[in-house]
Amino acid sequence: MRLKIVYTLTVTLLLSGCGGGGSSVNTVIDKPTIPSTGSVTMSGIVTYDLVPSNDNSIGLDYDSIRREAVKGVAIDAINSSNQSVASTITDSLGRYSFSVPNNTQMKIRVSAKMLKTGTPGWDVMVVDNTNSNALYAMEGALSSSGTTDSQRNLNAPSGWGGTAYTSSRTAAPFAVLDNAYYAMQKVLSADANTLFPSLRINWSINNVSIPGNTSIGQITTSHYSNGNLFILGDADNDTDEYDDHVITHEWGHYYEDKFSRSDSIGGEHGLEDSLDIRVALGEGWGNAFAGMALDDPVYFDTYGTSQASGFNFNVESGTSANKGWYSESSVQRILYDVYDSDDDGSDILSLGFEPIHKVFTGEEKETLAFTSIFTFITALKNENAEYAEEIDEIVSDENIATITDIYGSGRMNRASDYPYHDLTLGTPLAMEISNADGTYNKLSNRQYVKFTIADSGTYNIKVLQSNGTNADPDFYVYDTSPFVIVDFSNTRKAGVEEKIISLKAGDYLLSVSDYNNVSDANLTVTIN
Amino acid sequence: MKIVGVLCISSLLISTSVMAFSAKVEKPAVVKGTSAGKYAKPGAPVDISYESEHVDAGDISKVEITLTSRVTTGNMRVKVKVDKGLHEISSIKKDLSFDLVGGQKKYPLHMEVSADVDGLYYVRLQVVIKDQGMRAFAVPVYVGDAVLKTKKTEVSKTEKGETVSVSVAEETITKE
Repeated sequence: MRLKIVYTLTVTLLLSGCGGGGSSVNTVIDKPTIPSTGSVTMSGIVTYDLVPSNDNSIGLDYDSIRREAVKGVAIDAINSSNQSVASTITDSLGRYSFSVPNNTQMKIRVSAKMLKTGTPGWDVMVVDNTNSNALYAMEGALSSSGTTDSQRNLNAPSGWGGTAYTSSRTAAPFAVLDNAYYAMQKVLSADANTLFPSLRINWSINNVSIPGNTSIGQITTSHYSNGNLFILGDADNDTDEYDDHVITHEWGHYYEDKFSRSDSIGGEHGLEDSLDIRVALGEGWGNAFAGMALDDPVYFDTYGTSQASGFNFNVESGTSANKGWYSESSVQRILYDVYDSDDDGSDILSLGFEPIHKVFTGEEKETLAFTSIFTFITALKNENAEYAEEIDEIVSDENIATITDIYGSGRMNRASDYPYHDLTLGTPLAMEISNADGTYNKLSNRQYVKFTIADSGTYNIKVLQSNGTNADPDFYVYDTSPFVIVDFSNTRKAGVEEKIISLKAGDYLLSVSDYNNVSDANLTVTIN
Repeated sequence: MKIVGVLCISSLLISTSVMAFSAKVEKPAVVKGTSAGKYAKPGAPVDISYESEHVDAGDISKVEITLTSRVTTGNMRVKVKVDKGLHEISSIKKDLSFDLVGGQKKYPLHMEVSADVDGLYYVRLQVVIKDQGMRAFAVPVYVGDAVLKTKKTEVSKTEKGETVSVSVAEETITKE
């Protein structure tokens, strides 16, 4: 699927990066300190070994390795003194060309880095988080530039030896980087002047699936955190450099963080789960975006010996036994149906990516409610009122009653688990926390309380268990404009949590949970 | 998945242990960890918690692993592998199968392992829940210096001071 879009995507990245003018753009930096009696043109194509998934999207197919262009990366001609004598970036077909001093010993270095200053702009690099955060690069051999023009083609080998990796996995960082390229292309298609905040992608053969010290590779799993992607590299167990949708899903979280807003609390999640609405949106978005950016709705993740196992799902045609406003799979199908041009079932909408980008970078970023399918659909309908009926049809197909506001009022499906409650100061509000669908980030693990402070001052927030003392209530307080956590209380007290805090006038949200995860905790919230 | 502002005692414990690796360990120091509440890519609905004893070379480390799943029907298959150099003193089946039943949500595994050489080793698990995806884990076993013995690529500095890890490319050179 990736190969297909190489030739259909515009060369926006390249043209934008270099001012446009053709499909092969060269930037020549001749260093005045290098003595030269003349110059020659050195050009070539840079590729990496791409290992595709099997036709059934389970496991990798090492018999079908193909060479894929290394796009938009930094490339240097390095002389024998380890100095760069010319530099440029590869184009969307992996091509490069620069003028270099003649009769000079030099080698070509290709760095796993995409960098462009100005507008649009980006700064993406792939580093080894277990080895001094070193930038990955590959080099050719030192050889004379000669007296005539020459070509040097470089390929990053996969390192696959037939039944296992037997040499350096040089291709992996470039495979990882390629996903960031496609993700950026998708955003640039909606806004050609996008400035991408710096992104560091941490990949290593030592990156394993366990929480701990990331500098020795204990990265929990492939994930996004604070301007960094961490990607697994544990061959024969779980390595993700060729699992394009996994990487792009995580890039989608970078996008949420840097361009929009996500209130997701994270945690383990699955397609059939009933999730906290914030988690359902974040994870559904990640899956849908991977399908959009890669123009391939089949998400796959490979595992096991020789990367021969795995699982997949389809964000377009897949289904779920547990549809609803709390389901990440419902969210991903809704978002993808809004985007894609294939009409199917109740989906006759083909809005493309731009309206989605507009919502995420606009209303969603400033919404007064927790980010969820409710906030997204409300904003999408606000921005595209002429398509409201078609949007409602897509939403309805996921067993979600028409969404009319950012809080999702009027739930029909699992209405008793609707998380929002309105509180009047001085009046106790009863609610129930349940672990029926799991713990931490599942539906009804947390309840949300809306309240308004008319007069700035100090207020006592108390959450009291009314059916025993086995629960350990906690709460977080959010100012909704701008949306930010202003306080929290999570002491280890049985059956009660209480704190006096200062609040200015405004609208607030309170998120209430039970640290002990008791099966059913009846709680009463009072704010005085 | 984004990291959120949730403190994790186990992570802090691990970090503390790692910082102490250069010194002789007070054995057995128990290293704990859990994936519960952490960011996770899409996959099978299962979490892991573990305790493993940080021991000296030749000593036995008890490794206690607990898989937790809220799925109450069907079957969970678990494949277990240990790193080369890590000997199983009391082993478990390498292909395990658990019936996922209501009420039973914790699935414990117990192992005893040892290594003749200092290092950081892993017990690797692949978990499959039918129709719900897969998930992999790697439980660390710290022996002696607990340093990962994977061969590292040498790094160098560019003229701009950038640290790079350079691999050899396949190259064809054509003169015109």
